[in-house]
Amino acid sequence: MTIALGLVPVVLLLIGFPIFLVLLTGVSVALIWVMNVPLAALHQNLFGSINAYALLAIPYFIYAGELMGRGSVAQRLVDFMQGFTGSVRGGLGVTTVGTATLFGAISGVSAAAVATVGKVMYPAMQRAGYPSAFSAGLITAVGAIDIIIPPSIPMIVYGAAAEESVPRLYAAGIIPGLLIAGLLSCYVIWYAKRRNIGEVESLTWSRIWRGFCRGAWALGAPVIILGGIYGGIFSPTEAAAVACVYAIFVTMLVFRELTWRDICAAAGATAIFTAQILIIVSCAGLFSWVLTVNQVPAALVAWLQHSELPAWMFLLTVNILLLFVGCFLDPLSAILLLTPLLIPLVKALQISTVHFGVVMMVNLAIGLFHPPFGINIFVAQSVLGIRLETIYRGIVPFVLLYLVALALITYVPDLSLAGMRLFFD
Amino acid sequence: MPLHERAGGIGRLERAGTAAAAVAENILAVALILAVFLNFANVVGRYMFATTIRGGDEVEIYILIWTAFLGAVVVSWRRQHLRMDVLIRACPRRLRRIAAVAELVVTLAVSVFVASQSVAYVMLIFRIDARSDIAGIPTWIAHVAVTVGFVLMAAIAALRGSALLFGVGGEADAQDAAPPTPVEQPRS
Repeated sequence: MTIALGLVPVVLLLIGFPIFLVLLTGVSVALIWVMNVPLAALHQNLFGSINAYALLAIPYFIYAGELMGRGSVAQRLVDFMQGFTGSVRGGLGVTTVGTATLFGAISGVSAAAVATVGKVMYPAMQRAGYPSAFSAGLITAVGAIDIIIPPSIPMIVYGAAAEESVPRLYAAGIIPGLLIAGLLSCYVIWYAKRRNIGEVESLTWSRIWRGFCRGAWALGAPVIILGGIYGGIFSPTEAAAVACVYAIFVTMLVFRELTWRDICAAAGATAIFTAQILIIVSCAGLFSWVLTVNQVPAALVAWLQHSELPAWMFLLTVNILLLFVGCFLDPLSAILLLTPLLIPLVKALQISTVHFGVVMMVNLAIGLFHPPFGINIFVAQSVLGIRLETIYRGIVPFVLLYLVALALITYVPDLSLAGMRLFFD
Repeated sequence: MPLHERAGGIGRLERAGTAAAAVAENILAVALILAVFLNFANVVGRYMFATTIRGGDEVEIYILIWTAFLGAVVVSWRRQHLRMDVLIRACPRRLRRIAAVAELVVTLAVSVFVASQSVAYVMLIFRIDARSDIAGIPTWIAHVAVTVGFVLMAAIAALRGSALLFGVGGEADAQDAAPPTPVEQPRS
């Protein structure tokens, strides 16, 4: 059993097999040569893992973000943010952070934020005198907030894997997401003041109003999504579908930027991206079932109880593990591979699965832009046309800031749980 | 030279496969838009007319399941599956080629195994005429997506494997068979 569910998947993972195949091969070996269960369970679990209404939120949120990202939404959000931050030294950098955070409240796909916000903000920051390395580092790092701020696609996947409520996870992600945005903004302001970068404009109501008018339609999407979910009007899946219809309406009829051909192209790209995720969700569900039937989680819990590992030490160990894994594996695969193994331990240590979900998101968010293989680094390199060395140099302070935030979020559970309590207690 | 630019049977099959993948993507795109509007109609119906479309949720889930398994076939064809390819990309070309061949063999074997189990299950629920709870749609329509997905993934692995084994592609095909670059990976 150790060979089927441990050695085979690890070896296949290391030699670059697709994640779904890694899981499916391990299960197939176990079912054929080790276990004595009806083979119909194979189909039942593959099918049953994705036969869930809640998972519909994945393609719908991706589609809404895909539509909003194809037009001028990023520029409009920048105009809105600039109305507030133009009066602060380093305001352009703060606008980058704020725009990525707002975009995250629409899209939930991190690389989309790096590409969309980066295309608008990188040239502007260059013109304002920010060094290339700093601008590239900031843009690469801010996109990671998008998987912490709701609606986050990895949170939906974690919710399915850990059997945790997605609205509770979303509520828990708000304060940690804003904390990271705040830390990044403070650093940007400090950096700009120390180097005397950028010009300061006076804060006027007319500027704020102009920015609001430009960004109002774009800001409608997060209002619908978050207002709908926490106002008790929609489920997350319905909120995502309504956001899609809103995005089609705004981009086609209000901004007049997309045609039906673009709408269909965005739907095609969404369907393929969704398939990349769901085939792993399906196989991970099957893998998780095989682990459970073979009492692997129970054995892990027994080991944990025997070793008397305290909760803080467990969280530290998991943070190191997730940071390491996040450097090599995308967040969705990491969540699906590790959640079934970690959740029984989390429950045994009486750690909230909502809090743990947020800790997991922050760890994997760091992996998205951590050198040398963070996917957002390559997205920034390809979209902004910057050398990798420049991005690597610029990213270091932001990795450190995220690590500070990770420590706070890990060891002050109230930062995550306060948001959840606000909406659910 | 990529396989689809070659003359001969394999080249024709590659071109047909690329066209079929595009058709499948378009079908899934239309289905996704349909699902979105179905969901939206249910929300509007619930609040404005105190009614919903009977079985709308079930149709949406069926679309999701087909998106997962038919979409996975398109993803297989385009070699866009999520994977951890950091180590293998750093290896010499010869080793990458061996890994690519091993991947095709394992894909073929596992897909055939899953498809054979899946078809047995689908035949069973077809015979007993199992139907969905609300709309009464035959459930084999959704279940057969698993079978179709793995049969087609097996076919793709067989096609690519034969191209590699019979030397149609040589070194160039080993590169074709290598995992995609990081920027081609999906973006979370």
